[in-house]
Amino acid sequence: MSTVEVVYGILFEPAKTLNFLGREKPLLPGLLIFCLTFTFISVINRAITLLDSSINNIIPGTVSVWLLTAFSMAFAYIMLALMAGLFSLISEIIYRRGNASGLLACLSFAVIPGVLGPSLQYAAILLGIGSIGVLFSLFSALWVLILQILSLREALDLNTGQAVLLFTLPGLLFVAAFTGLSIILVSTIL
Amino acid sequence: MRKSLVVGLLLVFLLVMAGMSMQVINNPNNNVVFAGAPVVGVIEINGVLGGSISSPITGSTANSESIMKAIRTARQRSDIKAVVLRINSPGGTSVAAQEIGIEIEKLKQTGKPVVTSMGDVCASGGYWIACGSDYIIANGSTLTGSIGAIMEMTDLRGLYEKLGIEQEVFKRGEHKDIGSTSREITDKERQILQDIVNDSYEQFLAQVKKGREGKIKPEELAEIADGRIFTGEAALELGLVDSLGNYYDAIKKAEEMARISPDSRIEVLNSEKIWDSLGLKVRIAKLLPDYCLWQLKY
Repeated sequence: MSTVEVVYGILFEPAKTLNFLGREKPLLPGLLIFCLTFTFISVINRAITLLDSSINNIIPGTVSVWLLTAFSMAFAYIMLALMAGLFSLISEIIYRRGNASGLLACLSFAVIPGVLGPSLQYAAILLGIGSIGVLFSLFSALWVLILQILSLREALDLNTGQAVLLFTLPGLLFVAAFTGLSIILVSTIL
Repeated sequence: MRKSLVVGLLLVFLLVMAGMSMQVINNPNNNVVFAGAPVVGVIEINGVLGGSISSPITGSTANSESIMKAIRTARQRSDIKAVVLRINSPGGTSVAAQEIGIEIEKLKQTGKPVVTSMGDVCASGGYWIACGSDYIIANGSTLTGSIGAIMEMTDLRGLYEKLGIEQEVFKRGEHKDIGSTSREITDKERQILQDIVNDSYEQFLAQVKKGREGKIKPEELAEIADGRIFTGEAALELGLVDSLGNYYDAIKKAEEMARISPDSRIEVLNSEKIWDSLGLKVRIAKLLPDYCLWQLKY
């Protein structure tokens, strides 16, 4: 599969393409695509904040977009690696199936639809229909989320239910740990 | 072939969007919006006029630099069709008022109407700025006027004596230490300073005459321009303001004057940044007492 076919496949034939990526593990192109996508989203989002005075306040105008992008990209790479490693580890413990590098490649490519949301939102603002523009961003975020679950399913060879459970498990564990700690803390104080 | 075409079209769209985004990022004041409601820009002038930056430590100050920047933005942005100055200021330094007044003059030259909406107080330097606008709307109880100039000197000899402070001055030039807090002011110096205040007052009067031309007679203005303050209602009778109303009446008036639809977008051009409200821009120099500085005030 060429890069063009992979990009097309992620958008229109995600299951088949992610299965291929999980097997072939093209890490370098994946991380490059992730970098490009992330930079693109950062630039568009910065332009949106500059056009929209209600959110412009959050970031001082003097802070360089490239500096922000560099910092957030470093954080995003760490999160990406953590996600791939953590999901693969949990899968190995629960389902006895791990594929961290394949999952990393899949998750890197899964962010591609994320560029559509901010771009369409920006176009909507330029056309004076900014109020509906945010829906595009929400839709693309949801699309990326679904692709991430599909990535788990295809890279780790799970069924959909197992992939959804695996995807939500870290969050559920965190909530459970937080609740447990809060109860312990409150009971200690009382 | 079909796949290449779809990906190619997507890439072209993304590149166009990225290019347009970079244009906005590199030049945020020249935003291009193809359609949609025109914008009424609101510029808030709150607190004592001055050149320093406001913070919780130094108190509320209407920073002339940020206000001028907002006025320039309103001038440069093509989607902003009218401007409302929301003034809630008792005045401040004469230079701050004049600097802002000059920017308003440049803004008006572009043909964009400028309407002033007075808040609780719009007096002295605040009124100087209001006079630069095309139309002034006050609330009935707004305090306005205070057309005059003032410079204050403090004789701190008694305090220095109590604290055991002796000041020694080395100077070249007779009046180099004019206004010193450690000695009595001379008659000649008193006259020099009074001349400065008089000159500044004449400039203020000229600004009001220019801004309220045809709305108040010069002889009537001379009678009331003695530093006194008026309510909005009294100011309307005297011709110092054009009508009574609130902030939204000012927005409506601005829309009418710009001949734009009443569903225009309202955008505050100098709303306070989160960082400012946290006081992250405190300047050490501002921690010095104000009496150390020369300030001619309206």
